[in-house]
Amino acid sequence: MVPAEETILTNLRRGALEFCVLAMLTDEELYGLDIARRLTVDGLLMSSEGTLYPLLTRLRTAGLVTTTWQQSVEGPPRRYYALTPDGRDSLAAFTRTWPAFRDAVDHALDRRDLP
Amino acid sequence: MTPGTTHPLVAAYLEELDGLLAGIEPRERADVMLGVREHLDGALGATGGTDQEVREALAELGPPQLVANEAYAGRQPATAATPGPTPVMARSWVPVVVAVLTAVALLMAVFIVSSMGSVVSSSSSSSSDANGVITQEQTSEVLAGSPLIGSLAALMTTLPLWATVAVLVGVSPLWVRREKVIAILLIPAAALLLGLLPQVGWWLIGANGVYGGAWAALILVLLGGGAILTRSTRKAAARVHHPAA
Repeated sequence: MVPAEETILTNLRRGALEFCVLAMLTDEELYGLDIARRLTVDGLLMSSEGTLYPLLTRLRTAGLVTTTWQQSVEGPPRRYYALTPDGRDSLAAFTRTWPAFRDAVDHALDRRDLP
Repeated sequence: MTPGTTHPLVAAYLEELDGLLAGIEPRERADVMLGVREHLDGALGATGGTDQEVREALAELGPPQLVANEAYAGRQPATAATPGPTPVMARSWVPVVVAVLTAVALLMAVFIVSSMGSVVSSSSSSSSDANGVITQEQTSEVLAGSPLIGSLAALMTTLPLWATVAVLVGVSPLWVRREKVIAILLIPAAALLLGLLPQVGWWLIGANGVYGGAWAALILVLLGGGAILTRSTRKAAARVHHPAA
């Protein structure tokens, strides 16, 4: 990928990625590695797994997620992330705002393509 | 600690990341480190993984700088709202002062040793002229003593500068442990090199070796020392947290 595209993606992710994480936690609690693996599947939402952890720290500091230690079968206990009520509200607000924003960007880009 | 985080590559990665996170709040820093450590434990399993697996897991995590950038990027709005005090020793003046003091100390060491070195070579040549037969014993004695005296003089003269550099680098969170050792050893190593290389040249080649050794030491200290200093300063400066940047 050319550097310009990677820079654009980095900037785009900054506003949207934390809500993708919140959305993943809507129905289930997940641990860090699991979230990282799901987000890096296509390399679009996240290209380096490590950048997830500052983001999760941020969500936790903001009170949008909580963590609990849970025993795992294979190894040491894992920290599972869960949505807080604030996190749920925040996700709902983003979900309401996003389609209009996305359409506006699409619209602006389409107009540029017109002769 | 579990096997996953005891691999040398993992330890080096975690140490570098921890150093890069020096500018963020300790609790957040610990939280990020815990997350990454746990991630590696999970990715590498109870056995700790092979070298190849460790490399792949670290590659998937991405460079520590990228992770640190994300940590700082996310903090900007919060820090802009409530500008938390940057720790005194993590501020931007620290690498600058360290760089200037080290550069001055290196130049002083070069000046002192080279000025004493010229005395050495002239005295050795005059003694060989004057004393004829017992030349070798005398010249070798002169050369054996003086270069190290030059080193010693350089060490003594640069001591205040070196001590200041050592304290600043030792205390500041802007350097990780390995870089601290290199930054602190730079001045004494340069002084020793400047004194010892002409001596080594003498042992190997003779009188011409003294000049060869002196020039080699000069080039090594100015170019090599300069390069090390530049890299160390750049790295440290990159870790200074600019809330507005």
